Amino acid sequence: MTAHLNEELSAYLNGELAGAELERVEAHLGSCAQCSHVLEDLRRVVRRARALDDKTPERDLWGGIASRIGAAASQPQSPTPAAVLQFRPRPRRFSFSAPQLAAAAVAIMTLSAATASLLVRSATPTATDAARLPAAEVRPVGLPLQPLVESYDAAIADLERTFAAHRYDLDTATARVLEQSLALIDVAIAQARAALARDPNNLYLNGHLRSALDRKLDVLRRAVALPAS
Amino acid sequence: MTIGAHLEASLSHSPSRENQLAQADSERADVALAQAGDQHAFERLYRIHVNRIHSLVRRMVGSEGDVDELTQDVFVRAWERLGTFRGEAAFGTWLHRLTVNHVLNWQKSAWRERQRIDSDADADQGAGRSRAPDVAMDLEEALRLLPRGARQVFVLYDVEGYRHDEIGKMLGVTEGTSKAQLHRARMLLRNFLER
Repeated sequence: MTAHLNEELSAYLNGELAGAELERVEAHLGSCAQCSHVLEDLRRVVRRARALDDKTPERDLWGGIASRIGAAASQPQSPTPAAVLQFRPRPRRFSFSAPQLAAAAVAIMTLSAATASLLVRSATPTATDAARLPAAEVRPVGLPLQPLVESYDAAIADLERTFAAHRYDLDTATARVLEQSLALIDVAIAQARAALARDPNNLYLNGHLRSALDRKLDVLRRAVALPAS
Repeated sequence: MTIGAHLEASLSHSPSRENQLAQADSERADVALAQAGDQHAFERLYRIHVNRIHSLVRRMVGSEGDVDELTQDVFVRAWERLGTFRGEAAFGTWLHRLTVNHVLNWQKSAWRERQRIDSDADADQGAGRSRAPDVAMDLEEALRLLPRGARQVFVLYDVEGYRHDEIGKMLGVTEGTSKAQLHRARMLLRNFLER
């Protein structure tokens, strides 16, 4: 039997061997239990390496970075690091005009009143209620988001006008990236609206639409705040 | 299944193309905003990538340095160099490469070189004789015991997926050396892990 294999084992695992060299190694492995055993061990090492998970640092490192780049550490809006992989942090800071805020307040009050009414009713079910609501009339309680969506639309339209006026003050590449991003968000919004038209009470879709609107509002708000290049 | 339920299922249970596009799109917007000086956008980029970068740094430096501090250095460096990112690759790829270069430069510094000699000697001893202990260990823990050269190549090849020619260029060694170090690392890890 020839001498035991050494670096050829890793080369074999990596698929780097060919021709006569590959034949020689395979022939050796076919007759040498020791080298075959080592090869299997190495294969396990490689498998474990490829399955390593990234771990969250034990402490939040952003504060130190922020102080060095001159940013104020924004702890209140920072989600826990563990949450970040699953959900993109989206700070919800909007710039509504006074009329839009008023409209949103009315919408929220309406929503609150409707929700409170529903909660009160569902918390105290009576035989009379049950009798008054036949099974066919019991509908899933969706979120009547329409008024809120309208106030989002108004705020977005407002910011879009500002962005359009500001767009040529920006660096061309930055403006292009922002426009492309906004166009993609518009696609997501359109898809969510289309799906909601067919299934208006779907809680997930309502949330999805709101999240897309949030994203658009956020990008627009930041875009209009950029200094001229 | 309604369209809504179908969309919900596809968006919530698997990284669908739409989700991936939305994420890539958000990231591109954040990169553009950060390049224009928006530090909140940069914080979002940090939070998306910190686990990956911190893990990469930890594996590359082993027990040689302060992983948290080096990770912070990487992000500060990224902030300073954002203007050089032109979007040819994904931001994560750019950041990953910047991290590898930063750690390698750090390791090359003369002050660290002194520590390397000491730690290599320790690790080789451990790999060979006195460290024959007895208990199988976690791969992350075992990585810390590898000599630096072997550890660097193992992390870059087996964990991060770089090719030998790329590793050779990064480390300033030949492909042959990279291959030899990889095998050395695998054999040492085999010994650590199989006890």
